[in-house]
Amino acid sequence: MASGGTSRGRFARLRPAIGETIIGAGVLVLAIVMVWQTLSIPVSPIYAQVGPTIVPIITALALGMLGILLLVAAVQGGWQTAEEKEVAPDRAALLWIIAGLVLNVLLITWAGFTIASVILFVCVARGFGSKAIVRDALIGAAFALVAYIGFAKTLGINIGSGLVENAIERVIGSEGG
Amino acid sequence: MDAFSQLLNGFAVALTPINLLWCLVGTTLGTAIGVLPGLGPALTIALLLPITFKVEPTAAFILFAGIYYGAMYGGSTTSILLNTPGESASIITALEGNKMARAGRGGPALATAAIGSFVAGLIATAALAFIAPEVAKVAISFGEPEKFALILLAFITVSAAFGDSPMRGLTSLAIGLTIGLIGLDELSGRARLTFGSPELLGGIGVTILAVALFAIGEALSVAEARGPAAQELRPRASADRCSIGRHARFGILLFWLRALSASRRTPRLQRHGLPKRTRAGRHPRHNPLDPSPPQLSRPSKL
Repeated sequence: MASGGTSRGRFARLRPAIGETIIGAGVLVLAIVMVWQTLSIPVSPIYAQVGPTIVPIITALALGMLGILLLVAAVQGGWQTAEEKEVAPDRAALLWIIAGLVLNVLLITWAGFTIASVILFVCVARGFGSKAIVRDALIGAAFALVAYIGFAKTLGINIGSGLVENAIERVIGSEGG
Repeated sequence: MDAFSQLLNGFAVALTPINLLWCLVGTTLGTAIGVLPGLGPALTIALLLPITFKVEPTAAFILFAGIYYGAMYGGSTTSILLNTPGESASIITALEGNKMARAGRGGPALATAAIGSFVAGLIATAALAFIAPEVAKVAISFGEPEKFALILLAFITVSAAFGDSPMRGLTSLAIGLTIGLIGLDELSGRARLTFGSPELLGGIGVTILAVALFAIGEALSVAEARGPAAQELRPRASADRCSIGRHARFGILLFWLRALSASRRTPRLQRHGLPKRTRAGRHPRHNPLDPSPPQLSRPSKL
């Protein structure tokens, strides 16, 4: 994001930093969303003075002010130190981990805990530089199954059953019966 | 004297071999579950509740106490070594302990956490057994002005985590307050910032926040800067002092704060602020993007 890091000195300081600008703008947008959401809270006239909206409004105002200040700081060159700017972030690694998290959230409801966890595990391992996908999947499956069986059998807590879990239940059930 | 004889009686029951064994089982189980990021003491006890159905009541209490302390300690292990606290109590451990681990002093950090919680826990529990009735009187007299002052103090102590940038510290504080506002308003019962989603009515729990901010944040940060992170782990020769006196001071302060405050969220932040004052200047803090302030705004769910 802050690609202006290679040219240091006075000139680089004046260049707006993209990453920091996004953060400042994000805070500002959050403040606006908060004001919009707060104004939609129905307020009873009894709470006219100090009601459910007072703290959200104060927080939104603070966020708005801070967002503007952050934007100003970002336009003036951002707050990353020179050494931080020089290290190029490993964006592929970040994308792998974020993809794993998103897939986990999407899959856990219908595919079940084990499949979602294995996919998350493989993605994170890939993000950290592992290339052996099959090995990672096996390790992840072992961890996920131990965790699932531990919770489901010994503690009686369902942490998300799906295709794999139901199949295992059936196998265990038929053996036990 | 009555309290003392009752305490001795309690020790007599607790120190029988079978009960000590249950305590060992409890601490082992508690530590095993507690090291998992996201599972704090309260959650661990809730998870292990079915196990105690098979145990007689006294042993069950001892088992629970063991689980509780084991989970507390287990939380400090992941906080120090992986910078992933499982619950709100160990966020502060992560702030300080992980820096020690990164400086090659993970062992001393773990020992300090263990000795510190042992000494402070011993003092606080013993003090509670003896003077709890007196303190309860003070606690009951705690009214709204005092609570306000306590929360104000917590807000001020948050500034200790700001690092070199008050602006970014305040921003994370404001974002934390925003997250804390999600859910039902305690006074009027109105839904705030839920976007019409019934799942958000209960608010966002401390555990979810801790895992999201610390565990995922740490994973992303390490993955993004693969090389430099590994180089940080060089050992250092300087020895660590585990000051028993500081632990003792700490235990006494902690006991007062715990006994006095009705809500559990303020003492942790003050607890963080207090030792900072007692050893000013020992650790220069350089962690401006520390996401600890969001913890402040969240009423304890556990």
